[in-house]
Amino acid sequence: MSSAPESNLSRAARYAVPFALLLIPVWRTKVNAEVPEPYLDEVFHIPQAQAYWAHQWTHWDPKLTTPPGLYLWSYALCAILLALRGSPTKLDTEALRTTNVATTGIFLPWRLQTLSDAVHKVRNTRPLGAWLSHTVLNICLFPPLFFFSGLYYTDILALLAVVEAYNWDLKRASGDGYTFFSTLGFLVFGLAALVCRQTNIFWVSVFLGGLQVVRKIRKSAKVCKSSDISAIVKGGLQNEIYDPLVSEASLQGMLKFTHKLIASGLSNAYV
Amino acid sequence: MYNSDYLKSGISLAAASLRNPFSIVASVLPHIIILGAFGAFVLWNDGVVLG
Repeated sequence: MSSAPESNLSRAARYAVPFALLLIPVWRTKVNAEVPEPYLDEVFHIPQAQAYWAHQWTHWDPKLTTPPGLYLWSYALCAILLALRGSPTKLDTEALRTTNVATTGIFLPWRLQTLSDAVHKVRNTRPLGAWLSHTVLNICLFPPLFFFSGLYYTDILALLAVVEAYNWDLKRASGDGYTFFSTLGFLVFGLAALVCRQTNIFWVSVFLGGLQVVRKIRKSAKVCKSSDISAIVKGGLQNEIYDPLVSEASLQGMLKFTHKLIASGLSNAYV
Repeated sequence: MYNSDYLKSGISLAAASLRNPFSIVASVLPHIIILGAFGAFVLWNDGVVLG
């Protein structure tokens, strides 16, 4: 999978990615034409972002359930644009949605690509690059995520922050460069992820922490050859890990269990 | 069920983590700091509001 050979399909895929990116401004225009007024939760997000733009930093709508990450991000993007080209001076619905479109079309694919390269641990050659880019594109087009790309919602920025925290955590784990610096980067983006969405606590702390624990154990552990349960526990205490690849893992036991469950369910149903 | 490699891997990792708990906790210290920061926020906010 990660060593996809060069083929007509992989060459075609290379062009699919920029083509899809070109469609994003069309999507933005279409959304703004069809839904010009704030839609559902946008009713709360947009006035809050406008209050920050007007430097009313103490203004807070108590109905909001997400921390202010999105509004600060839009503020920063628009402040940079304002300094560069003198607009936008006023943040309307369309301008705020555009900051989210930029997050989807530029920042998220860019950081996802970096993450994908790091996770696969391979040099990004051209045919492989096409395969990876296509994976990135598929993630960005994931319907529940893409739905919010043209609107002013927190979902996409929340994902971007988690992806960037993951990037820094992998950099930290790889041990290249200064560990202090990459740990600091992870902390900054991990906390930023919390500022975007409270539920991100699971992803940056529990999920990434769990991965780190497994990485740490595997680093020093030897392979446990027995698949007997008591031998596995004993082996574990002597730093031997029973950790087969998913592709080689046995589901037999689980299937047997499911069969039994169904069989007993059926027999009970007819009693 | 108890034949499943998924369950066995989990048990194996749990047993191995008992061998050297301090170095494992040290390696996830940044994650624990973030969890602590979230806990502090929840205390300050007087509960968690999700939406």
